[in-house]
Amino acid sequence: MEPFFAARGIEAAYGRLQVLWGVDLELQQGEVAVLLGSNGAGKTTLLKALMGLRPLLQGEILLGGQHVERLRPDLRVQRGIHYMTELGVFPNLSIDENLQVGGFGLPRHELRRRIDELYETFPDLAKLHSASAASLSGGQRKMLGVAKAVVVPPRLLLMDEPSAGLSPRFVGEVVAVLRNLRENGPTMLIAEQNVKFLEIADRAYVLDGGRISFRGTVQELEADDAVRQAYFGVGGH
Amino acid sequence: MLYALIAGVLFGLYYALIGLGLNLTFGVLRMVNLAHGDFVMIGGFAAVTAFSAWHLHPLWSLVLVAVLIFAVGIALYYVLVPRIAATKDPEMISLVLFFGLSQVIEALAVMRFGNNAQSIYEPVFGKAPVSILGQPFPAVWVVSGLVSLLALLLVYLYLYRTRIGYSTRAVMASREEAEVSGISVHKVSAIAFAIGLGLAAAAGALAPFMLGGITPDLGVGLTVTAFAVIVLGSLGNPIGTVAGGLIYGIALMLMQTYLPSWSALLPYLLLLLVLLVKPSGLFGRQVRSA
Repeated sequence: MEPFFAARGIEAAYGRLQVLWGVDLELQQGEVAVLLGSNGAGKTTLLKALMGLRPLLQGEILLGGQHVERLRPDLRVQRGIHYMTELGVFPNLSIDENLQVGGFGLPRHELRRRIDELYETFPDLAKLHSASAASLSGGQRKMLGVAKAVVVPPRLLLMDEPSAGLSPRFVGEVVAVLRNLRENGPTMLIAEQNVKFLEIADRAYVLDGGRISFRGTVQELEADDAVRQAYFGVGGH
Repeated sequence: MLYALIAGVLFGLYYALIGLGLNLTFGVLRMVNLAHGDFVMIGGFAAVTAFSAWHLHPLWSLVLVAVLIFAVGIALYYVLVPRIAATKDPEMISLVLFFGLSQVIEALAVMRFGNNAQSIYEPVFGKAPVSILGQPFPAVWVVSGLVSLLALLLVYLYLYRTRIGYSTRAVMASREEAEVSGISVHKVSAIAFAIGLGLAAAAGALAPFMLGGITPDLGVGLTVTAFAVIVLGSLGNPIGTVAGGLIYGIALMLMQTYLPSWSALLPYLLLLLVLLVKPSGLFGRQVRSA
């Protein structure tokens, strides 16, 4: 079966330094995949390449069978590929303004309805709606990042280290939000170092030195000795 | 003292108007438009020419030249900026290119208007002074202050009360984050760049009264002054520009009152002071990283 999302033979570089080497990814509609990798493995570069923020040296990217690798980032967003960066929000904008920017292109009345729906899902954000994003705690900012990324429901949601800088309690909250989010169906690719995100994943990839060193289901990953040693510590998690 | 303070506020609003356009451009593009002052000069010559040729009131010239230069700004953006952005060193290339543009505009102005200062010498805003807190001021200063305030207010409403304004501020915060939020960054930036030039030209229409006379070499000095104003109030922060303009205007009037021979040094002194004491500007904020 043709995958909903496919990236094939992705190669990308920073200047003369090649960072990604022939990376292949595939996701079926509604699947959640975690892309594990240590610092410097190339996770962010891969997401940026998929989003059009880094030029490809080689490779193709298909969403719903259509090539998107030549599109500008904002046009990929229009096709339904959304990207929650590690920053995730605009710190100089209020929560409400961030959500309005996330809904760029939606008609005004529909945008308001979507924002009100999101405020029901994220009541903490509703309480602080006029507060500057810069004044939020790390956890609240991640919640805003997630909410901003789904103002317009995505077809594919790319997430760059949603646990970065968060305490374990907030990581648990973010995982819970994403678990809730996946019930509504967006396909997700989550770049992470934190194995807790495997709880909500169907599939896992491990990126090592810019190459995919493991691909399979979460169960297969947990059974892989080398991966267990690298990410769970010997003896499992 | 009171006279100098009030005059400083009036001139400060005017300098904020000049600086705001430069700050908008810097905010969205991270490029300093070294030709910014030359668009003030263009606005000035346009107002002088329109008045001498058709007796057009400078306030009408202000509106017309702002709209016209806005349109020029849109075209100029799409001719220049995507090419600059595609280079390996956009900041350096933009400095050289905008400096070159400034020189071309100045040379064309010399060819068209000559080197002598030109102005509007008729009292188009009336002869009677306007009294503020018992102090008499030329009506044109008060009108310029009010027009500048209105323009600053309109820009504020644009940035803080419209969806495209939110997007403009989003681009100012992070161009990359804006792109992946689905914002058409070039469209938003082109409009901000054009508004910046339009504001410069609008300020230019008042320059014959606020700056004395218009000469082709006015642009370079005004760009430095505008730069001092926006560095003072924080680069990329439009609200800070208003504060920067007011501080500059008041400092200028105080120096012209008490140390007139030093007043020409003011922009440079303020620049040095801010860069040494608070390089992020008075309203520069660090984003909380918790």
